Amino acid sequence: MSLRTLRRMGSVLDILHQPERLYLEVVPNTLFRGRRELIQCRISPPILEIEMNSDGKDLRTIIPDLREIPLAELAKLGGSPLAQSITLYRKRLQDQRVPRNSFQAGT
Amino acid sequence: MITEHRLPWAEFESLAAGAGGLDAIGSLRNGQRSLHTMLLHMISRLATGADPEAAAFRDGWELLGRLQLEGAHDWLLDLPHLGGWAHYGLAGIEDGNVKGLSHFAVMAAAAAIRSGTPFELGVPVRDGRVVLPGLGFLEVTTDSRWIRLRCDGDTVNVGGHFEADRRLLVPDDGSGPPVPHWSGTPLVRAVADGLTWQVLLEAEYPYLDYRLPPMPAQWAAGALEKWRKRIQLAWEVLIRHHSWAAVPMANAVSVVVPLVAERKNDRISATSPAAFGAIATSWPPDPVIMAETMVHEFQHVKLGALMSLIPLTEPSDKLEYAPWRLDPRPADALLHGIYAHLGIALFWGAQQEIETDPDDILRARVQYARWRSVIEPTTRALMQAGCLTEDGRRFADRLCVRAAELTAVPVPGTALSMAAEAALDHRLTWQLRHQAIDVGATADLASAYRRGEPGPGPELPRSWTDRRDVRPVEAGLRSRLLAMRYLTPGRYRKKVEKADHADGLLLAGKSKKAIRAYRDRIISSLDPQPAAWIGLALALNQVPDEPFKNIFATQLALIFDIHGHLGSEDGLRDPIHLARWLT
Repeated sequence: MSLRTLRRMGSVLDILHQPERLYLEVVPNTLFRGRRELIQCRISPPILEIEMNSDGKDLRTIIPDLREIPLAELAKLGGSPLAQSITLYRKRLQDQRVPRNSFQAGT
Repeated sequence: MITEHRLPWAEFESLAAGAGGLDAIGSLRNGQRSLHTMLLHMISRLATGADPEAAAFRDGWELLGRLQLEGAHDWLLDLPHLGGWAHYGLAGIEDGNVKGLSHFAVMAAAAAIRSGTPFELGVPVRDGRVVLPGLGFLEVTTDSRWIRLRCDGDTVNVGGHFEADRRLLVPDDGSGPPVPHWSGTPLVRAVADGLTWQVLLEAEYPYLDYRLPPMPAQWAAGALEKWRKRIQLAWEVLIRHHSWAAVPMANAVSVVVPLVAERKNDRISATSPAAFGAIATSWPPDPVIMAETMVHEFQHVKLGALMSLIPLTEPSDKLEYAPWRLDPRPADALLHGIYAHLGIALFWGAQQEIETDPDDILRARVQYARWRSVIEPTTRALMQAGCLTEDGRRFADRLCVRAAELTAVPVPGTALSMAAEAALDHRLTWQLRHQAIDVGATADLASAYRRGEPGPGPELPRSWTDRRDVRPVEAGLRSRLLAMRYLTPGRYRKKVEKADHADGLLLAGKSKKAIRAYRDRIISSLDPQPAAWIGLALALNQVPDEPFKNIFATQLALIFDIHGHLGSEDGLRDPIHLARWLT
């Protein structure tokens, strides 16, 4: 079933994705007489690229999650993502020093 | 094994649309906790050796480790003071300078006193004070630069000089009795509609000074109470009409740094991505302006935290026009400005619906019209400059969608034209200052014009943005009046008579007379008259079917430069004639 057909049937409410499948919850129109359906369909790669567009994904950051690491253990994590992040951040700090945004207005 | 922080797409999108709810703020805060931990860890690796400054840092670091085991260290990791100091501390020690590292000992001590964790530390004394960031300061009488602080979990012993109940060493909300030897940092507890915003007024903390004009050296009589009242009234405005910003802001912003503007009618405000949760501002003239400032600066707070987690811009030397600044801006600063002005537009969009005084309604409408209109074109310019990362482009796309939604809202024509005129004045002033044009090519065009040859057609000389002031142009009284007309209409009505003849005609809407006046001034003066050229472009722009308004609005710097090559020859000095030749 194509997305076009699905959209003719009703509005796409939600899109959940798994690696190879797209699940669309649709609000039915007259065709479904008030029923709400969860429809599963295989999708072709081009549609996957368009429809997914990071929807439902997390963005990766450049900061390691250190909240649960005992401070005394940090020194043992030399070759880890922490070291990479430190290198990145050190370069940033060297480039920008202590950053600031300021606003000035006068009439 | 460590993993990196992740940010849910929905939170990223919500932030990009200008808002960002409590979930998004929670994610940003979690990222800041790890970032601060990483910074401290970086310092700890460099703070070796016998220097007392480095040793005091190490003692503080060890205490923080103990606080972590007790689950009592998040307060310190969330404190804007820590981020502000840690960036300076790291930058210093990277240059081999350990001075100021001992300050971390008092930070850890403050967290331990707050949680009742026993400790003993040597801490620095500055000007007779032991500062406990986020809490206040102890006054001590000693000539020594160091003093021992000892806490048994209940009582703090200060170098054997005196003891204090650690539960009394808290910020000063104005309700408690004085505590000997103790000055609590002023705390404002603003309450409106059952919602509370607790914020410290941090006037003396050196690592939150933003290298801006000074904070007050000490609170003048009554000044603290004035700030408390202003914050309370601003909170009422925010919570009742701008809850999309107010609720997350109260969750994230815990420090306001009062600044002193150089001149009475100036306003300054600032944030630093280094100090998540702190906003600096000079005295705002009314509660609505304070509320707007908080929304504006909170946008910077959010974006700064987001950009420390997810780079949105690429390193670049490119400089672009920012419709709110008279200097060209690099990509990251431009994105910050765009995001701040999205918040400002959202603020005034809501405010225009609730104001009742005609002057206030005008201010809200023009502010809304002016700032909503700059978001999309400025964001597009940034995208075209190729300075955004992939995530930055996603962020920018969402910004543009939000801007389009705002631009679709109807605004009365008077407000639209006032906003457009102020925006054009700003853009033309910037163009004359920073749009550099190939000198040889403009001289050739001047020669061709003098010889009566045909105009150049669409092939115009190469131009580029120059950080320096290419042509000396003052943003003079007319620019101030154009802003004052809607920001402070009462003041405008008093000041407008000080405008010169041509500007007076322009501001009165007598466009054709203004065109004549500016034109005469340009023709009759052998000195460059950049202000008259901008005035002429503005006056032409007021006339609906004026054929030369477009070329003056887009190529003012080129016409100005060609004109500068023409000399004093009569008959060649008419700017309109020159524009006709170029068109």
